[in-house]
Amino acid sequence: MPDQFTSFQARLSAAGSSATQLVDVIRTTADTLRITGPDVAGGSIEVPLGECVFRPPLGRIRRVIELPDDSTLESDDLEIVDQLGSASPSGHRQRMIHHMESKWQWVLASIPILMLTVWIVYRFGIPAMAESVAFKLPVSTLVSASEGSIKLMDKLMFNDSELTEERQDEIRRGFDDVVAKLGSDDYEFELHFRSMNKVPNAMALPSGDIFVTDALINKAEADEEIFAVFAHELTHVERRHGMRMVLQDSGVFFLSAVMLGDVASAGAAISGAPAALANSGYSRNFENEADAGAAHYCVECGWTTSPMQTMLKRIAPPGGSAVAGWMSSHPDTKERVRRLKELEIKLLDKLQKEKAAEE
Amino acid sequence: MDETSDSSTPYQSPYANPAPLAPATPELREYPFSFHGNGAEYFRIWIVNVMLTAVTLGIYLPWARVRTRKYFYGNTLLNDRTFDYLAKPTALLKGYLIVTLAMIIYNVVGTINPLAAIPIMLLYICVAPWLIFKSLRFKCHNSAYANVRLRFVGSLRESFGIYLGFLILILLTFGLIIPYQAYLSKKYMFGNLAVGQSESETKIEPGKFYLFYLAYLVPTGLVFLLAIIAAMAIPVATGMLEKAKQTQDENRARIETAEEALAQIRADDEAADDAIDNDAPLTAADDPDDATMLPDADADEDVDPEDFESMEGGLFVIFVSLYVLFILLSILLQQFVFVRTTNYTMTNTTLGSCRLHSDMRARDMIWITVSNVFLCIVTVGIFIPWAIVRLRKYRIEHMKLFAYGELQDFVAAKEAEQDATGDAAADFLDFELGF
Repeated sequence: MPDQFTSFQARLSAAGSSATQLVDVIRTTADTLRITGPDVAGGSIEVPLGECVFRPPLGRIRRVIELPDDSTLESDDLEIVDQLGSASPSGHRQRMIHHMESKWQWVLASIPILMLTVWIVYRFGIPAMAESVAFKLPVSTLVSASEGSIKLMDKLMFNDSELTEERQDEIRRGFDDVVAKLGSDDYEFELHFRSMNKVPNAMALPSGDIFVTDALINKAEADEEIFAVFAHELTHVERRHGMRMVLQDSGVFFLSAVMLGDVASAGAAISGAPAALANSGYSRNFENEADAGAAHYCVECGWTTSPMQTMLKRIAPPGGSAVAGWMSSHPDTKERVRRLKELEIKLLDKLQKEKAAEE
Repeated sequence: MDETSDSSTPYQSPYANPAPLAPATPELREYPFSFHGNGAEYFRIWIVNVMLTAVTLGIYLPWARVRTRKYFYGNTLLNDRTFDYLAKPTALLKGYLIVTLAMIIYNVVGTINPLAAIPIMLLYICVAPWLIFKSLRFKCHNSAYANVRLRFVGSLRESFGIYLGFLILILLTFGLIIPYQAYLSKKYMFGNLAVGQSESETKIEPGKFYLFYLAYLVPTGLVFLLAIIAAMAIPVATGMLEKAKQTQDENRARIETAEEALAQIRADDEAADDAIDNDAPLTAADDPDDATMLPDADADEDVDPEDFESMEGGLFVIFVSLYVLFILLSILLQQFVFVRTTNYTMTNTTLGSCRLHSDMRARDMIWITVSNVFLCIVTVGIFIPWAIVRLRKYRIEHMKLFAYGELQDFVAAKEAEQDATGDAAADFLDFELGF
């Protein structure tokens, strides 16, 4: 065997003692190590190679060999010790990892593998898990999760609506129609009128409580525009977007905690940023899904999607262009309108085909 | 053989020739800590770790953590002997799973009923001192220097006193005793280490901590003041925009309904009109009731949308730059306190006949941290391993051990095995645990 007489220098220490002595280690036969040194009892000792435990190699740190009597050999002759240890039955997996870390091709391959995995988990894994969990929860949990929010929002954001009773009833009838067409029996949908410091807005809680502000109603020039918004909000409820959002947030939190575990110390302040960006990505997907729900309703009513498009343009914030699309929780208005138009063509096509099939 | 009984040596007075005697106090020697890892090498270990963690959906995390620690400990040398991290990944995994479960319970309960999350939070706070204690014991027990495991000899009672009792006192005194708690915490962590038969002793004073924190609190107060002003300025500015818009709407209505009256006013105020042409919305907001501020109908059309957009864009830029400034300042202040308290604590910590020493400089640490954050962002995270190595190298290489003569050998004392729960909790909850 070529490595039969390999030798290296090491420090020998008894178990649990820092006292150490310099020794020479020689492989005398295929499976024997002879340790010699001035202070070794009897001048030299022989140990069977098979009973030595080679601690797995890592970087260029000192290699350690555990001898059968629990004393240790430490050596800086890395290559020789690694070669001796490569035949050792234990620590095989760790040595494989050391091999990966030592080869640049593996290191470079890690980068795309990592990016792909994170992307798959972020794009499909977390949303799919959140969806399945959200739809397994009973509606009662959604209701109790929303109870506190109503009180909180009334305290912090909303004032009472200034709309007349008649106007409210008029709008409520349209809302009931949206519920009849899109809503399922699982939820008790309820429309709440509020005012919010002249901000046009509508929002839905997971329980089925939908809020609309006076400013939004006043901005609309046709009631269809308001009903399209109701369809949008109702889709949020039906698809359980609120609960899924919360679950996905936790998922992203855990993903970044796992991924950035070591990095947190390097800048805890900035580690919140990627998570926030990731969450706004999810939010945009939900908005698009809700827009699609609104489009379905509008087309079903025979309005095309133009009421929804008009409403989006009306409530678009004037300074919206200051925030780039990928940072915003809502997609860019132009983008949303474009999607609505695309969807409209598809839906109308489908309707025509269905009609043709019936005839 | 006893020297005095050796008859072959003639008697010599110790006063006549003191040279052969060992000096009463051996010379004080300096043993610097050194770090031998490098960024390129750690990058390879790090990227493989992160990749395997991702591919195994986090299961590999404890193995990655052990490998990372082994790398950093193994590359830290003192008197040509290395440190080592000996924890078993499976023990860490157990701890991680428990902590993950606790976090999931908290999140789920908090989502369904935010009020029910409060008792859970309180429970976790009550458990924290136990976790810190366990974590310190675990970490020390699994850290070895020169083949000898370290020990942590602090008591659980003390941990509860510092991390629960003083937490309550901090609330009661409106934070006035935060420096005192920091003092106790540092003393607890550094003063209860043991290697072999030697136990560490930390002699520090709370007054110094007040001094460090005062130097920290004054600038922090200023930053908060700045942030509050900014936070108030933004709604005020947006409010002004709203108001200006509103005024314009009202004006437009008035223009439509009272064309003649407007013509009259315009005739009266031609000169004033020219002056306010461009910043009509803002001046109008200053005094919305003043009829003479009615803008010219045509000018109104020109000013409206672009002006509002650029103003809101401007606010966004102000907000972002304030955020960046805030991060920079908090890094600056954090590092300042960290450097001062750590230097002070270490330099006043002895281990047997040895004394620890640390001489980091706040400005160096601030520069390293700020440039690290910047480079990590610019390189989309590729620089992270270099950043970590750079920081560790600086901290380790500014540590020394002073001892009289040769460093003595240690022999390990027996101690019960610890489970990993505490270690994992500390890692997840990001407690600062010194070295």
